Amino acid sequence: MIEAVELTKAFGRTRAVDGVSLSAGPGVIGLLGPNGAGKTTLLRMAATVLAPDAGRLRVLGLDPARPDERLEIRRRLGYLPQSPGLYPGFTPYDMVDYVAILKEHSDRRARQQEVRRVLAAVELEDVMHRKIRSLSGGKRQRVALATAMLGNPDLLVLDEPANGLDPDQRLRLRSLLSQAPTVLMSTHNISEVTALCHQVVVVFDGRVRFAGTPADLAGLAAGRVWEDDRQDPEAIRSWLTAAGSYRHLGDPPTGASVVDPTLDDGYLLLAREEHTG
Amino acid sequence: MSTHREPWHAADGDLAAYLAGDGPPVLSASLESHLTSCAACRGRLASLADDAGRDEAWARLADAIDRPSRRSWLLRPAVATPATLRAALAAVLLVGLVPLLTAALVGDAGLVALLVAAPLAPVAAVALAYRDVSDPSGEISLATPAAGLRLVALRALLVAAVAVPVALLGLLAVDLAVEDVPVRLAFAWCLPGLALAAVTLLAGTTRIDPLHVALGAAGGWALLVLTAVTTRQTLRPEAFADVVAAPATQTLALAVGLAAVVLTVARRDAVVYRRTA
Repeated sequence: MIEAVELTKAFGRTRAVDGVSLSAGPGVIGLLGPNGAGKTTLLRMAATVLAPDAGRLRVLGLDPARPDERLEIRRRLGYLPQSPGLYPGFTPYDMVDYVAILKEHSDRRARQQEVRRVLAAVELEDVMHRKIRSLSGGKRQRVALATAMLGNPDLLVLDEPANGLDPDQRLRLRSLLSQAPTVLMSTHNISEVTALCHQVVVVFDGRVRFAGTPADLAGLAAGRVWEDDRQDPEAIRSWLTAAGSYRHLGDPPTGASVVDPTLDDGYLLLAREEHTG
Repeated sequence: MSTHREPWHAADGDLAAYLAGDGPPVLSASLESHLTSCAACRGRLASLADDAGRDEAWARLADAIDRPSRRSWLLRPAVATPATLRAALAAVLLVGLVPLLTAALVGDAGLVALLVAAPLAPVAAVALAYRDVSDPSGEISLATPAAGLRLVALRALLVAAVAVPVALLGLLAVDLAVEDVPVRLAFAWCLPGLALAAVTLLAGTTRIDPLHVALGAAGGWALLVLTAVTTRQTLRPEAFADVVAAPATQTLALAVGLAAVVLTVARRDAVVYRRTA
């Protein structure tokens, strides 16, 4: 559903995306990486908002560099940007209706039903006629999410969709995303990747460092995680767990009690390797 | 005369027609208004309706309240927010009033400022139309099928549809109200204004920020007029008017404007997509 070959995008001297190649979807694809790793730039290119400087990109089998195919992608796409910038004087109903018009929902009655459907899906029916400026950050995020869901798009491109959502809403988000054919989303929350994603792509400094299943990412740390009741100076990372013991990452000493790795362990190991070069 | 009015109650037949949704619109509207203040009729309505019928009636009422107006697909993207509405009204007023202002200021130093500055207004309008703040849905709109020239053109055409008749009426007023006013002066700013606006519009198909192009165009225009006037070795207002209204200036503006429009249309698919912001 999304294929990139040597995709590159620079802003001035900064290469935000630096030769990314990946093939992802269908299903939910999670983009993991630290701030400034290039996740947002990658998502903006997938959402046809930004043109790559070099490389080849295909979204839903279509080439966004070609105007007619780009239009077709936009017709089948739902996009939640990092900063949706919703107009505060609109109500959620006005906002979603406005985007529905831009998305060619020209039949008045059908559009009205669709707007109400997506607002109900994100549980905003009770505030749909209140001004956006009076809503909490989480509700604003759900308004933006509702605009992305208009027309049951084939592809959802979501930049930090769980931002500002409470635990209940995060659960609701998971069930919503599981209904979409393909979702490309960035996140900082590894538990979301565990719960939601079929594929995970880890990005550091504009480059893909890992692409595979969540189990594969956790598997990177197989045999390299152990627990002990005190700190281990030999470990490359050590941290105190909620149970009061220390969890270590690295090459376990002889006799160490090696435990099953989690997704966090795999990600931290990658991050450490990236940091040390 | 007594102000006391006997309470009235809706006839059973009217209530039944309202429930079924096939009553005359005016009567239904009157009944709805009456029902909000008459508990007796609400009770009778409830007894007439079974649960399904009541739900259907409320759903119909909610739909009627929420239903966007018939023309909302055109008006909402163009003048949805106070900012876009103000911009549209300002453009209409400007285009309509400039001929009258010109008539009032002819022969005065005010004409200089008017003829030099008036063409810059459309440039500013176009430049602002490309700014992120001009769209109530921010970056979300960039990933919709309407993004790009289509949305800009829709807004421009709506303003033009109102402004041009107003301008023609203004011209007529100038012609009728003030004798000996050269009508060509009243509209001399139009073509240069459109040409500069079209050049700014063209910038939207490139990586260059349209605001920078607008500033450059404004400076270039002021320089051009001042150079032309100073070569005539006079700074009298009539000299400015002569330069702006000269056939050479008008022909040049027409040529530049047409070329920019043709290029913009040819490159329409690059609008917004190539922007790096």
